[in-house]
Amino acid sequence: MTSTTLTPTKPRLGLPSSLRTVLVIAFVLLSVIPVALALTVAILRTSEQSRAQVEAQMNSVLQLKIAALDSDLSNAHTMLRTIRSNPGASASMLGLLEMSDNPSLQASTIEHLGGFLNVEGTQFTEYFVYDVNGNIVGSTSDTQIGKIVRGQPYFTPSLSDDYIQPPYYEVGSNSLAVVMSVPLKDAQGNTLGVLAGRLNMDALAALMSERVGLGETGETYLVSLENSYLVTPSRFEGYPLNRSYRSLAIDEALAGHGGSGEYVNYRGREVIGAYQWLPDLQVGLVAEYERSEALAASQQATLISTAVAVLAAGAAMITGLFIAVQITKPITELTQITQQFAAGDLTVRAKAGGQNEVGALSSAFNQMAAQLQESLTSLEKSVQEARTATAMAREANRLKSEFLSTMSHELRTPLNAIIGFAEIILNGMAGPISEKQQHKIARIHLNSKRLLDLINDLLDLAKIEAGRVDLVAQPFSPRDLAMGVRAQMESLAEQRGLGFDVHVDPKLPTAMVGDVSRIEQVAKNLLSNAFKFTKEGRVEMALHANGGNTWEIIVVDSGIGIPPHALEYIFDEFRQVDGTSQRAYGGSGLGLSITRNLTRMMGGEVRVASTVGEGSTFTVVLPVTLPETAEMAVA
Amino acid sequence: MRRNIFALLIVIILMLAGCTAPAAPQVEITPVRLQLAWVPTIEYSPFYVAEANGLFAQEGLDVEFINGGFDENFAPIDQVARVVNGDADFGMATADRLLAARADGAPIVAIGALYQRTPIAFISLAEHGITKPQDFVGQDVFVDDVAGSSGLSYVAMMTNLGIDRSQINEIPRDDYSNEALLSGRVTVMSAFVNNQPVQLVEQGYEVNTILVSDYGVDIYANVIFTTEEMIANNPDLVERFLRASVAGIEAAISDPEKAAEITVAQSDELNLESETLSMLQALPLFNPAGTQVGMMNDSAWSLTADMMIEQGLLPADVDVQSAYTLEFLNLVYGE
Repeated sequence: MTSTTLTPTKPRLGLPSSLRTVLVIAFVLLSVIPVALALTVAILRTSEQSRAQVEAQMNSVLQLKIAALDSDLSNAHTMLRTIRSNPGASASMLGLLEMSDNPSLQASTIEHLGGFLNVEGTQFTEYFVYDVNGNIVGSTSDTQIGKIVRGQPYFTPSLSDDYIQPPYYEVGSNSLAVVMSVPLKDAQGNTLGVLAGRLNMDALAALMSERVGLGETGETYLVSLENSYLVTPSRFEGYPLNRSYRSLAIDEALAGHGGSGEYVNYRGREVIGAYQWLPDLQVGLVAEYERSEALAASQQATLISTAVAVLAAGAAMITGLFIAVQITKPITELTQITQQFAAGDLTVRAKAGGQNEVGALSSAFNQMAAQLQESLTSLEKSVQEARTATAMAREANRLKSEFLSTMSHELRTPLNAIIGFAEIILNGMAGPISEKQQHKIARIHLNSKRLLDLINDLLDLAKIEAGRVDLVAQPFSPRDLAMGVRAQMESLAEQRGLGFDVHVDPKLPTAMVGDVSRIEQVAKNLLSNAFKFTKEGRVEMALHANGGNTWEIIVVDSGIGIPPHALEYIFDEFRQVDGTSQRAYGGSGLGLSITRNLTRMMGGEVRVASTVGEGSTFTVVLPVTLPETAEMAVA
Repeated sequence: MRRNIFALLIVIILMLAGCTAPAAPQVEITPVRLQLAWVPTIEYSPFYVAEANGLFAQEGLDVEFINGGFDENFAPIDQVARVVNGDADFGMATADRLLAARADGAPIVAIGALYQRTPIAFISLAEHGITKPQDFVGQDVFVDDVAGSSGLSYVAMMTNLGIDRSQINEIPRDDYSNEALLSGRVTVMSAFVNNQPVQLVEQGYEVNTILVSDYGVDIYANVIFTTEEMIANNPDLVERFLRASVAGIEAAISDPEKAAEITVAQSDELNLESETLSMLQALPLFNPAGTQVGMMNDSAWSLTADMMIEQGLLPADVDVQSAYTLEFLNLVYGE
């Protein structure tokens, strides 16, 4: 088990990897998007409805004002007709028109007219009577008497019929005047003069300024066709009557149209308004309401619903977050537990979850953890046992080697004495000996030598196995090495009657670093081995450069060969191909084992290829260490 | 393919030809001199506005305004003589001045009028309670020379009303400021409704204003005139000048504040606030209800002539009709 399998995988590009993040985002989107959509639709609908409502309201106001204005003007004309039909007034006026210089008729006329001026609800500020030449013969305002109205716009039409003079700008005043009139006729139907009334513009203004349901900014006003002056004052300061005012409503109304809509009014404010051209009075009537105030209520409603929606979305988000935490918390904990477990703490267990999927996962994990812990505990126990056994075996082996090493030394001492004395006797230094004796002594000498070799090999192996061999690295010439080995082994080849060649690869470095005596020992071991198992033919040794950072000592013989099954163990101690071979070929059977051990110590390896009856090829592969490399390594 | 390219070439050539061929007819700019009756004042605002708005230029005219009033030797400038002598192409005068000049042999003809109503009024401080001409009886009244519009209007108004002038202490006018009125030397004096009353009200006085036009006296205060020769030889120029002038009146009354601003720029003597008020008061003079701007009518001319005949200022057999022409106004109004 490795700990990496449980570490969280890297997030994929662009997508949130954390389940919690995904859940939170999902909750936010699910809560906010529908709310935002619903809210937008609601606001748009509310806004449009309110706008339409205000527009409808303005239209109603407009119609109310038109009705009121019509009624007022109609009442005003009725008033003039009432005066005309009043017997006293009529007699005075007609008499005065016939005798304009008559002071009593003038006084009587003024008295009658004055009486009607004091009638409650009159729309006039002045009544006056003029003759067919436009001379004012009587008036409730005495400064008017003697004036001539012939040049006034109403003069001509007033002579023939009831007339209303649309607002006109009087010279010397700052306001517009409206004059209404009825002709005064004699019994024959001839017009003798005109009874006229000057309309009370303040009353007209009051009519317009009754702002029922028009809030702080709503207003209704009349605009004259003449230069588009205001006929009735603006509700706001700074807008005198005698200025030209423009707006969509004013332009449209004065062009003879009626309608309603949203526009920028004469004060530069955005308004919702309605307008109508009034042909009788030749004026435009406008009712309008500043958009901001008109829609303030719906804007407030919008604000409240927005706030509620934001709160709801916030609550949904918090709930979502809470749920996400609820879902992901046990998973995160389980992950942490798993990580701890993976890190080696096998005792940790997940908290028991609820009845849900995560709970099931937790208990499944715990089950798995328990099993794993059990398996691992027993496995560890076995490993421990194996380790102990290995250690014991190693120690035993080491003791054996030590024992061998010591024993070999102890054995060599008496053996050297035997060899020494045998040589002394054979050399005749101990006195003359018979030929028979010499032959026997020679046998002793030869066998003692073999025994010594055996012991030496044994000692070597033991030393290696006991770890008492130290390699001494020093520069050497592979060529000198080859020549040295040849010189030492040539006599053996002659003795055995075998051909013997040594080749040195010219590509080999001239100098290398290594334990030259051990390398020589390896070469000699392989050669002794080759000579030993070769009855006829030849033995060759080649030092070969591999081209890489290894070189090879190759020993080829034409000996008996090694059967395939034996290739596996020929390097083991005390092994020769079979039990018989030891007796037939002699030798300790330790040479190859020593060779392999030494080669391994030098960082190399031994390979063998062989065909039974044809011969064997042993190859020792060693690393190339050049003197510079060695120096550098030292440096 | 080859035919297509050929066709395309033809189209391109035609297009290029179309671009260059009908060059706009070269508008010849005619220099025109207008002799005003007085120094720059709000009554001339239509001309200044027409100039500022490029209305004269639209008619191919480059108008030079020549101020009236007094010359460098403080001698009064005779605007009729200057036009007759060819020092100006058009001039401004009152209707009575024009009729008198014609009676003296000046070959001049009125072609239009700026004010439709006379601005002439009689003013008094409100404290005297003078609200109608009858109230002049027993008062000290500053009276202008009857050879001028104000004097003639006074005499005509009193005559119309049958007021006995011997009951009035008439003092010949020798001061054109408001000083005599304010000092109490006179209680009544003539004025222009959009001038002195406005000033006095601005200064905090309560003023009663009696308009002569309310009493059947209405003399055109500023008619545009030219010579018979000009009308005969260059009627097109006359029409163009009048057309631009009428458009100037329309433009001035449709934006009185702007008109006042443009007028004030003509002179160092003028004050924007006063001229704006004056312009607003002039609006019903320029364009009273039921009138067309720039227009003249026969009855106004004959009433003026009648007043003058009555005062012996004109011979009884004067040919009033030849003193003015509606020909060009009718052309301007497309009649």
